Amino acid sequence: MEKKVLLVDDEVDFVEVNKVALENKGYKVVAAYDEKEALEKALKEKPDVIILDVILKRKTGGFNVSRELRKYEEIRNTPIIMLTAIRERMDIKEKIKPDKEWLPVTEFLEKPVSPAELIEKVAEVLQRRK
Amino acid sequence: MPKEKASENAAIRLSLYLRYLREMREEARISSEQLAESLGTSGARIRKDLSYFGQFGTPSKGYRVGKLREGISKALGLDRVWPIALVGVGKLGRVLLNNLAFEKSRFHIQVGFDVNPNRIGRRIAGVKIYHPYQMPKIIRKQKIHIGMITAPSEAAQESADLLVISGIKGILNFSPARVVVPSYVKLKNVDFTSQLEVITCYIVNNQRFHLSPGN
Repeated sequence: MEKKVLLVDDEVDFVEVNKVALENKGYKVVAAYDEKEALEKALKEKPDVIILDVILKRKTGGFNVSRELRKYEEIRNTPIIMLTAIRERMDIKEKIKPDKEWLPVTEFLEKPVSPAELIEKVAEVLQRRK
Repeated sequence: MPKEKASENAAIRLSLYLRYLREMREEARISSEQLAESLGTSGARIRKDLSYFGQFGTPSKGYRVGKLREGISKALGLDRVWPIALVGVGKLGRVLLNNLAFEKSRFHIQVGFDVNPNRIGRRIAGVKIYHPYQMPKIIRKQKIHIGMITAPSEAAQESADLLVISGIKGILNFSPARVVVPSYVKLKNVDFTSQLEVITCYIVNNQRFHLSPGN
């Protein structure tokens, strides 16, 4: 059965490029471009994995989405791969780490991320879930 | 140095001991029993708390007030100045700025953040105000470890997130909103409404006479 990926980023070009790349590898990809749409689509589509950018409408919008997603039983355990360029954009020196309460994500990927890296990470996360 | 992580309750008690000792002469002596009696606790509790943080004297001879004060201040981290970042320079924020913007204060608001363009770039009570997205750079540069949130409820979590990614180690949240921070950041909430509700609950449940609604 084909696996479903929810790709959340407000950068349309990034979404388009990676959507095509993931689809070419056999994934079904659903895109969302803001916090509200991300939550709605996660609940409706129940993806197998969520790729979530930190910077959405707000600089830390992705943090909020990750916490909100954990409030719903049906998607609570869906792995989240968080993408971030926030350290570079906001000149942050310290590494941002996942945290059970504050930042309940499975993995972090620092942008720029190539489609190949993203595909590899999605496969790795899904493999771990088996 | 404490052997393990100090409990929050121990820190609260140390703060109370210190407040009491500040009213005494430096050269005076005080026994743990005398201190306990004044604060409504036990001498054993006090000796245990003090021994946890170091050697402040001989319990059998009593403690010298000056030395004890100094030791407790050090254990509480009060032997240095703590610069603070304030997020939200509205009415409450300004009250805090006017009280904690003095460099001589141990807790000193050194920088403010607000989204209001009329406040950004200005100095309020001598403190420069920046946009919240400038937090990581400013906080790192000014070596600030404590943040205070006086932003409206809907902006409280984003304020906390920005403080955390800026490397802040402790947050005092004055917003009524519940905020989430990682386990390595100490969060204390100061919710006036909730505190007033504790008082009203006490009053309505302990009054011998009946209070009619609206009184």
